[in-house]
Amino acid sequence: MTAIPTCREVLTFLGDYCAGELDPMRTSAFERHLQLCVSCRNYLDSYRRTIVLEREAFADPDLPDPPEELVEAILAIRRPG
Amino acid sequence: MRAPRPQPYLYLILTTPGRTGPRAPLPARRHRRTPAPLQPLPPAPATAAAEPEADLLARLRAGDEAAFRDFVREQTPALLRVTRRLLRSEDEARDAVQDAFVAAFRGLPRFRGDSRLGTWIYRIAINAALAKLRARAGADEVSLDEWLPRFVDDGHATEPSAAWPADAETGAEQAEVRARVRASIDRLPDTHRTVILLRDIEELSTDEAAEALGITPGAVKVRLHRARQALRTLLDPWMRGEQG
Repeated sequence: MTAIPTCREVLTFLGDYCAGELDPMRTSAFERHLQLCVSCRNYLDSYRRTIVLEREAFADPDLPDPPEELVEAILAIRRPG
Repeated sequence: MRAPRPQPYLYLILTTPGRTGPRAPLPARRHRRTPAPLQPLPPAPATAAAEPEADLLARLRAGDEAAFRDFVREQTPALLRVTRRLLRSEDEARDAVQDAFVAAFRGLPRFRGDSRLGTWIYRIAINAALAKLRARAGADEVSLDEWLPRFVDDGHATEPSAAWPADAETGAEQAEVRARVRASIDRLPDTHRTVILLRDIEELSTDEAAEALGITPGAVKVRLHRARQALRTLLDPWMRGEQG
């Protein structure tokens, strides 16, 4: 059985844990730590919400029309002369 | 007229297989090898979209002026969005888009069609923007350390993390939350800000981001995690209602 990791280990490898990239033994050791440690549970929750907030901050479904002068400048690049 | 000039940094990306579209979600694990199918695969669902794509590519290769106009008009908004995000300068963002098209026009004969045209030029534009970022004089690199968790010798956190209230995001105006998050991302050093943008916002894979940034996939993972941790710290007082 893998030893329960410290807070330092949990927070250092939290990105891998969230990405599902820890092996099963390590994942279960992480989860044993999380069951016992309210501070790391809070941290994990806020870490995940940070990622959601990032995505929402840049959610931008509508793309405006391109600036005409830029389109013309780009098209001029390939014209001879 | 703009004088075309060699841009060697672009060549790597020109032959790299890409995604199915600039904003399309990435397959979960594209690098996992799947066993060879025993039966012929059914036709790909993208067939309907592939024909106009092939047609556009053929017209571009034939030098059809209208095709170039369609291509530029269609792709420019998404390219401008990503170069603006990376560069935070309208002039430089537009220059990067122009650079991307210069490279793409030149690279068309070598384009193998193993990604969509939009994906291909989107990645060229990211490279062009990153090249401009690297060329900026006076790097603004600051240390992230003060925003990372600290620990005592036995591995416990120096300060326990407090919970964010469940309604912290919904309690404020959405525009305010977005502005706060974007401003906090802007406080990160470029080395880390760009990784957040490429991985979390533009949804490049770790390997794609590593290639674009010229660093190892392991370094991308470390930077991304540290950048998210720093961002969490910057948002923490506000999310807990301690700071107006």
